[in-house]
Amino acid sequence: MIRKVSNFIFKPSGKNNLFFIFLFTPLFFYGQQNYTVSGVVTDINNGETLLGASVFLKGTSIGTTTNEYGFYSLTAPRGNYTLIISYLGFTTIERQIVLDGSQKINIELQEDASRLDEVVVTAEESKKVNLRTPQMSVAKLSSKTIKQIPAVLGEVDIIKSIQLLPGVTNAGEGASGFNVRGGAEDQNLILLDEAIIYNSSHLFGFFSVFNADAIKDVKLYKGGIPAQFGGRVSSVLDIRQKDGNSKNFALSGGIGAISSRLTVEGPTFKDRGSFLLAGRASYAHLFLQLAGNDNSAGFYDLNLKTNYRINDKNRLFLSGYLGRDNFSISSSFANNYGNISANLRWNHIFSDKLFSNLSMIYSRYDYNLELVLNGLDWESDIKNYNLKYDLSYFLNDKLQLNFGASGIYYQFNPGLLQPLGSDSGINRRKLDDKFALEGGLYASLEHKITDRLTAQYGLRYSAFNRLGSQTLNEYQNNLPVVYNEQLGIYERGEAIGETSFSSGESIASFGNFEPRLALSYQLNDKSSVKASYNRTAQYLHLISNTTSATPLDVWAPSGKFLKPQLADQYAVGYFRNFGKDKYSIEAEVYYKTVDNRVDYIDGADLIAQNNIETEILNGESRAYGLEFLLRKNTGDFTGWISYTLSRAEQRTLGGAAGGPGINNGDWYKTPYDRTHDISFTGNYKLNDKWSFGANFAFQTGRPVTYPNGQFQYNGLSIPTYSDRNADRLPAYHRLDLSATLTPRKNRNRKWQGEWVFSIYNVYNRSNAASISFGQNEDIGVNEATRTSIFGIIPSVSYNFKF
Amino acid sequence: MKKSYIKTVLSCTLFSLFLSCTETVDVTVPNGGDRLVVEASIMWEKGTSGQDQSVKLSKSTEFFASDLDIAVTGASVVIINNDTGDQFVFDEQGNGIYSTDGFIPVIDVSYTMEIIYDGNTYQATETLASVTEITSIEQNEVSGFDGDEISVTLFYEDPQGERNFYLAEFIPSNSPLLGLEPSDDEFYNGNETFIEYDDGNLAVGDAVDISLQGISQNFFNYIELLTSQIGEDGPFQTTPARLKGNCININDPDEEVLGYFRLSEVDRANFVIN
Repeated sequence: MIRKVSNFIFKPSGKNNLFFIFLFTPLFFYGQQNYTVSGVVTDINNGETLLGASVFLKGTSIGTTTNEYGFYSLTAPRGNYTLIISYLGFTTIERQIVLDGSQKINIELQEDASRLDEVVVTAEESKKVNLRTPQMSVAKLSSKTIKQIPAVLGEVDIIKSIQLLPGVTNAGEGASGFNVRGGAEDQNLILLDEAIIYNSSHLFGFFSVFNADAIKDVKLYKGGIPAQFGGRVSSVLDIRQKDGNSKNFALSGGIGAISSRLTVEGPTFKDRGSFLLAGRASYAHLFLQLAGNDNSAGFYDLNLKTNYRINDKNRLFLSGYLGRDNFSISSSFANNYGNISANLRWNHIFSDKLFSNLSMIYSRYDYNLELVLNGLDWESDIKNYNLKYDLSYFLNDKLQLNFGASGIYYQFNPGLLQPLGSDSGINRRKLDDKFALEGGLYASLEHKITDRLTAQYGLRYSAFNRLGSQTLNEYQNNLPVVYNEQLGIYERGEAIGETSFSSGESIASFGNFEPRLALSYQLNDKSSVKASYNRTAQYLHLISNTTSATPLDVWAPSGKFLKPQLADQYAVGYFRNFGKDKYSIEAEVYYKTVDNRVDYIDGADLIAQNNIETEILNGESRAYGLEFLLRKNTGDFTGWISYTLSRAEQRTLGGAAGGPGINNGDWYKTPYDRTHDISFTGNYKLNDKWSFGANFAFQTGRPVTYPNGQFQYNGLSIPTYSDRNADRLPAYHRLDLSATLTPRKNRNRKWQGEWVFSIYNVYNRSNAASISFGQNEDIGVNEATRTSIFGIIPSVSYNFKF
Repeated sequence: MKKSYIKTVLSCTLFSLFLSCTETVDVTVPNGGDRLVVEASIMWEKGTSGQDQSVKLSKSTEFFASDLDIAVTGASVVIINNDTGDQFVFDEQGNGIYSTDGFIPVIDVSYTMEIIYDGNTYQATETLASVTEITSIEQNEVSGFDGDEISVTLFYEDPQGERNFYLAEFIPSNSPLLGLEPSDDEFYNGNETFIEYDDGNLAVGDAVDISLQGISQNFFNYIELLTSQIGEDGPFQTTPARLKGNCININDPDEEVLGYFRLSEVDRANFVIN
């Protein structure tokens, strides 16, 4: 079946519908005449398309939601209907239609009047749980909600905000990335307008790289990952940029404690398109100069989006992102890193039932490190070219088919080390470049079996081909790692020769079928149960054995020695709206296993390591948990409480290398294991002038390894360690508050401003980022030292819109 | 160059950026019980006979114990030259020290140490590693994270065409803690290179005893893991691991024996900050 779909994909044509009718003949038997209504839903104020708006025919069970480009398509028998279009935060529209032929209806929605005088971002999540769709395990946040959450130093942060939702944590303040359902940082597919972002952090994790002013919609798939996504086993973070105001020129921005922002947007191409350009830059040097030294640190990013409507059926989009971090410590150390991405997209509507999008995407992450003292200059990067074609076919009111194909070509430069300065003792050294091609084909059918039961059947086939040119080591007995029985440690295998692969030659290839299945059964108007299963494959791995990923960690492709990670996840959930839909409850349990999750041998040497295979052992991981989310969606007070009870463990056996494996082959907690994770987020609108926000977070401390003794050696006291991750840091908790003032005089002026006052970590808890064990420098006695990062931090920022 | 230096620099950058704070705290730690510790570092200083050698045996304690150094007495210690079969018997001196004045060191020769203690026999085998000379020592003013500091740098010529591993030891007069810097020639094989020491507190008049020791690759792996686990801090620290030495109880191979038996040629120097 997949093969046939693929044939179709390469010969796209709107008249090829017969093929599908043939394919799904058993699924529908229709005698009636059916017609289709389709179109795009936008915001009347700025022309932004609305994602996930609900469109349905009153009094029937026929309905749908708009896709990533605001497009919808509904098919129903001939007749008179009332079309209802709703989107939370916007006024619902009803429109009478006579369905006696297929028709195109574009709809503009108006924001709720009560919210007009706020400085708001137009997007608003459809907070009410969509009971009917089989999609579960999704965390959605709008840019507006994110902006209401109190943030450290007033710096609005998407990644930190999603950590307030169940199932999402990270290693603490000053740690890059995030962890989903016990997964590692590198198991998240982070997409900004479909481009892969390899590092989501500024300043080593203090802030995220996404400027909330340029973002329309954030969706995190923690499970039940749709077949259109592949390549990472834990989650997909799908972030969409705003298209830009297509009605008026608008200027908005803000002045904060860490950075300033400015966004310009407006119509262009004689009203056939719009653009958005958003910039953000930190005040470099600020902190450090206050501290009285000549170190500096800073970041900036730029988001660009523009689109051009060729005609009703064709539209082009161009998105770009550029972000950069720079550090220098006196004159002895300099480091800079960043992501860059660009995506050119072509939306083509073949017919009122067949929507397509073609994307050409480039993205790159690179870093550069200069150690002046050591005379070392180090550069590394990863880049990819991605061609992707996705189609949605709205067959009838019961069936919707999504299918497509993608191909990604990767180039890895793990490191070029060069002497810096003329008297450097460093030899030039180039770690092997690596190349790979990743292909994907998928089809996913959403099938409304009865009015209550809806299913989504998906299948993805992914293929990964590691390509030359590269020279690989051959190891004695084909073992890159061997167990030294006598010393009881794992050692690097002995290289006995080399195999050279020429340019483009296949070094290793993998293929995996990834079935995805989701079901929803609506119990009544208010509640439903859902279940899902998905298998996902991951071919890229971030090589890191530090507590938190560093910008210097290297991405490595699967190959002869590094196998693809394969995950299976099962989830079941209960969803309910109540109190006139003011409240919603989501409760889910999940169980997830990952095969081929590597861990690092004791004493692994990963920096500038050309042969990663000599440092790793192949293992497995498992995670399970219960997630609960209670949300209040409307009214003067909105917010949520979330709770997660979970466990994440891994096991790494010796396998072919021999020996018991890491931690004696026993299961041990992963660094992402959190038994309890509770958060509360609330926003209260007192009046038109004042609103207040609060959030509280509590989580079990991160698993760590404490010393179980010490011995005297070479005049020093040396800690001894035993089982990996057997201890825990103290629990993490903090409370943040914010108040937003919108001066009344703003109301009828063009210039609208607001002041945001916030206090992070109100009760000044010293949360442990780490606890280290060592000897006191002055008296030599053993001591434990806690490092904590943010104490209480008040801040003020000013936002404006013109 | 010690690679974990890079991570240390990153951590320091991170923490100097923000208003982070460090504080000594009380922590309850597990107790893994007392284990035999073998500190058998045979050092052959250039220009000497190397006949006077000693080995120290002790027991490990819990991490926050008040008495950290428990001597092991009543053991017998012997080292055998595996080429000639010559045996060097180490006599007990008290306080866990066992010594000889008749040792004969030979470069690149393999030796086996045998300890009999409490009815068990412990063995370890290592090869005596040579070392190149310290060519010069310099002091520098460096801009550290907290302003200007004095550092001491030792220079040496790495021999071409072979893999070499080094341990530099710095014993400053101003601090109870000595500095250990393992290094290998992965990045600078065959070049003049250096190892730098900066404890953040060196001042004019302080003396630093410096030694450059040749070590085996196995001991390099051990000492690098050891030093990385005593110096590291912050979120980029490596997950700590069990330090497995090379001394094995042949009666019970599962017994955890701490410490290491190794043989090094050494070049020494003394430097006074001026």
